[in-house]
Amino acid sequence: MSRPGRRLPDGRRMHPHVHPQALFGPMVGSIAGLVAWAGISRSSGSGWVQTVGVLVAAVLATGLITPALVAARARVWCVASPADAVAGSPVTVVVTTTGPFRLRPLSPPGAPVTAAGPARGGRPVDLEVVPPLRGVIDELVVSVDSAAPFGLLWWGRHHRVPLARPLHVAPRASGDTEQDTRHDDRPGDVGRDVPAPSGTARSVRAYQPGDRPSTVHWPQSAHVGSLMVREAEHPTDEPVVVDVVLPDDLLAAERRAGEAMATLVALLHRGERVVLVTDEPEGRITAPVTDSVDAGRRLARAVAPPVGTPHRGGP
Amino acid sequence: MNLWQRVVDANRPGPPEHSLRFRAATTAAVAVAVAACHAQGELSTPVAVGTLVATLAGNVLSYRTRQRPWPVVKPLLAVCVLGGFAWFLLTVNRTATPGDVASVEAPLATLFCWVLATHAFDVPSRRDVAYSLAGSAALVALAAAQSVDAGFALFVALWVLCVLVALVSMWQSMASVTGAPWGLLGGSVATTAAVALGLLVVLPAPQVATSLVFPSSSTGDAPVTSPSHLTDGNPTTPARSAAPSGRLGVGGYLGFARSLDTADRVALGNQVVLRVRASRPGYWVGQTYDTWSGRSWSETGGNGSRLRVLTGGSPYAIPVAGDAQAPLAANTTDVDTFYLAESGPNLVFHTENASRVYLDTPRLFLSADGTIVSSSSMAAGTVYTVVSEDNTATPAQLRSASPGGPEPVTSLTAAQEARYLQLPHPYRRVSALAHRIAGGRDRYDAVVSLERWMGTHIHYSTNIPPLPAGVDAVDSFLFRTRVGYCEQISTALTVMLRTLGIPAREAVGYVPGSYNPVTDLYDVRAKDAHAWVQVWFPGYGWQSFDPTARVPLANPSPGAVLATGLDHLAGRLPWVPIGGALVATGVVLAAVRLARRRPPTWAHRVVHDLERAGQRVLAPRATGETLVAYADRLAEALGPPGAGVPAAARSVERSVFGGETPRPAEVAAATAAARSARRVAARSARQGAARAARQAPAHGLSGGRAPGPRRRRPRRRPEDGTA
Repeated sequence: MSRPGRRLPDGRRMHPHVHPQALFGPMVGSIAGLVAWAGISRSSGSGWVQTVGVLVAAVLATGLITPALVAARARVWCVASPADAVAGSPVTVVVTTTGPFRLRPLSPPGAPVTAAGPARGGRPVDLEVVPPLRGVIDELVVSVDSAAPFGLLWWGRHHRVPLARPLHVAPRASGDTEQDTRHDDRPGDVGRDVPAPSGTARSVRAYQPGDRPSTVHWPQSAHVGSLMVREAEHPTDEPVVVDVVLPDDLLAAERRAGEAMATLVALLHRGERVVLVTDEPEGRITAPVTDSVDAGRRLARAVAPPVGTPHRGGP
Repeated sequence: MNLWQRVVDANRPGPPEHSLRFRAATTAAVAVAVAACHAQGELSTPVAVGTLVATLAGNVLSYRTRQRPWPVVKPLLAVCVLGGFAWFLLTVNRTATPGDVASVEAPLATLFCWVLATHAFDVPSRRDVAYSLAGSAALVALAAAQSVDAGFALFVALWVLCVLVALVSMWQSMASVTGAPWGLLGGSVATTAAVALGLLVVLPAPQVATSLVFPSSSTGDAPVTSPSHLTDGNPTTPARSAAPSGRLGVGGYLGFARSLDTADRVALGNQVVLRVRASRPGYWVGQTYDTWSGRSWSETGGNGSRLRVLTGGSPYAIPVAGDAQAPLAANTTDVDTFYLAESGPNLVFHTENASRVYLDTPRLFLSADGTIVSSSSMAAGTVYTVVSEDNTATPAQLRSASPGGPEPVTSLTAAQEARYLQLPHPYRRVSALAHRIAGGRDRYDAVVSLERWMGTHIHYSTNIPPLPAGVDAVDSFLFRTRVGYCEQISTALTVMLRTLGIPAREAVGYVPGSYNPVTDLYDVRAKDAHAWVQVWFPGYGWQSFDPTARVPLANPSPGAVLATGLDHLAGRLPWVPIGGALVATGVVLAAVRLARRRPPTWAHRVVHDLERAGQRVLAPRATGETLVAYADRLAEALGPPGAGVPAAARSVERSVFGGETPRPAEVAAATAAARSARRVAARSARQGAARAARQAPAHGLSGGRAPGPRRRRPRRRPEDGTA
């Protein structure tokens, strides 16, 4: 039974040490070629055939082994990463490598990128990854590969790259909901300031002691010649409470989070006050949300309620 | 995914290859391989030139059309390749000898060239270019199979260089790398060389499989009509023997002729005359002599009248001469292939008791003593193989075969015995000496005791004194000079044996030269020509004895040969030029290092000068101390000469941290002030040291370090900035 740390989220094995990639072709080709060469050398009796074969073998051996040493010394670290993302949408993470390596994002997956540039020295690389599911991602798993210096075989090592800040991957809203995928520069675990409800302006009246200075309606005061204050009518309607209960099944939870996201986006778009109730690792959280980014972060952190919690029903 | 889909995916063209250097290096590797094949005679000049031109043109076309390869090219090339294969099969079917791999090599080289040339027109992607590189390797292997000399190393070195450049370029292309990681490349090349050297040392030398058909060629096939012309040096026939005027042709050895004058002084050359691929090292005999005149050897019937003609073409079966019958010997089959590097006499060299000769000549001539003579001129490039049944016996066997032992199974006829006991005169002194040394011993022990005596009483030298006219060479050698080389030594032994009644004769040929582990050949040089003694033993035929020197009996390991070669090489290296080159390299490296350490900008120069000045009169700049603060302290220490130092430091800070671009005059002033401060500080330090040295006796200091300029400890600045 393997330890969880030795596995990637998609079940693939994590390789903390260098390992060859696509070894079969180069190795079998090299061995077959050298065996054939040895046969020719043996049958011809020519020492030059053997000499050339030995040189070819040495080049192959060096070319097949040296990338392992280079890849083993490779380093990569994150220099910039966004705080928000949407499942299924690409997001760019900037990392720095110590050499011209090929970077293959494994978790979250992404397209391989070549760290182009000079033969030596660090260089920044834009790594585009596509988180498949919602959640909070603290680190990337990147395979740093090298084929230096002969390009005969790629060797790679899986690196866990801590992100500059946690990446909140919001669920993709179901349906045709237009989802805000903008990034927020604030840390993901800082709550957004929610303005106090000020009500809807109804009329103005004369200033009375005790009125807040901020309620003074200066244009009207200038017109009348005495202090006038705005009189607001406070809404009497309660905020919409969205209680998201996620099932244990990963995909079902993803689907339900997507539906909740679509609901939240629609409510926020209508200007409704929304209070979102979710189960998070820290416990049950009930807090208002003001925009889709905030909602996305909450749903990214949401988990299924602990076993034994009474069923609260769907949203 | 099924297998077919995998195959389709594997053959899907890759992205276009844009690296021009990768393509150029690969094309160069192919060109070197083609040139190597041409140099080995496997490709005709038109084919080689055509391949080079087509490869170059094809690569240019492929590079220009790499984004959108012409769709018509691929099917066209497929047809061309199929046509090439058809031509190859037809050619092989018509010309090749069944089982003869060598007969296929030339068409195979042409086929490879054809495939490489056609492939060059369709190499849009990186993988295609890499295929061309691998194809060049096959072509180089084909050329290497035919190479027998060290000159091929040039092609190998060039090809390896091209391959390395191509591989590095491929990696740079696939990893989008600009520039070269010289450290990594140097390490990789050194590792490659070390691995190759290690493999070369460890791997056993390749051996020819016995089932292989032996090479057989006579490049200068010019038939000789009369056997009498074979060894007479007749200038009208291409066949020639070793004559004094033919030193160069045969490497300076005069023995391979109708007669051997032991009074001649020789100066053997160092050039390789032939190369031999042998099962094991041995004496390669050319001919023997039986008639001694007191000064020179000759062969009975040497004018060709007694030569037996062998016809029927290669391979020739060589009948065993009557006196060479060795029914008691445990014969060992030796297979030796001779590659003539220089034109030589018509003698077919071989290990003793040749049984088959593979030589492309109309006929062979065989003398009664087993000397084999070709009817064609043996020009450089001639290759032939001789299979011999070596009948070398053990000392115990030879002792038992001596008279007095069991009944001999063979014996010489009276005529043969008379030939091999022939002496021009009684040799009384020589006979007395021989009897005193070996009298009463059996035949083998007599030979050994005479050899041992010679080893203690004779000195080897090729610079022999001249033999006066009318003086017997052996008598003079044994009782007057006792200095000589193989001819005198072996002749003396032969004559001494004959005086003891032991049949013996003189043999001449070559001993194995240096073994070349790279080519797996013995490089036989002119100086390896040798003369030795053959003694007849009943039941064992002619047995060789070499009173002059011993030859190694075992195939030396490549590692030992390499170690010896390196040792010799180290002893012969021109150490003075090498030392000069090393010194020059060191100077260049030091200059480069100094240039690299030179401050790159004026600000760096100013900082450098100020810090050097401060080190002399103050102390190194403390960590965290600003340049301005350091400069203020320095100006204080230097006094009036350091007045410009603070301004220089402030100019630097404004330029580096303030982003201001200083005026040239300001830069010049700062630079001059810093340089002046450095000079003043150096002068001050020197004066301080001298003053301290003068004051040292007055202080009664008898030893220890003279008080130089006092170095203050770097003043630690308070964290809060207060003084």
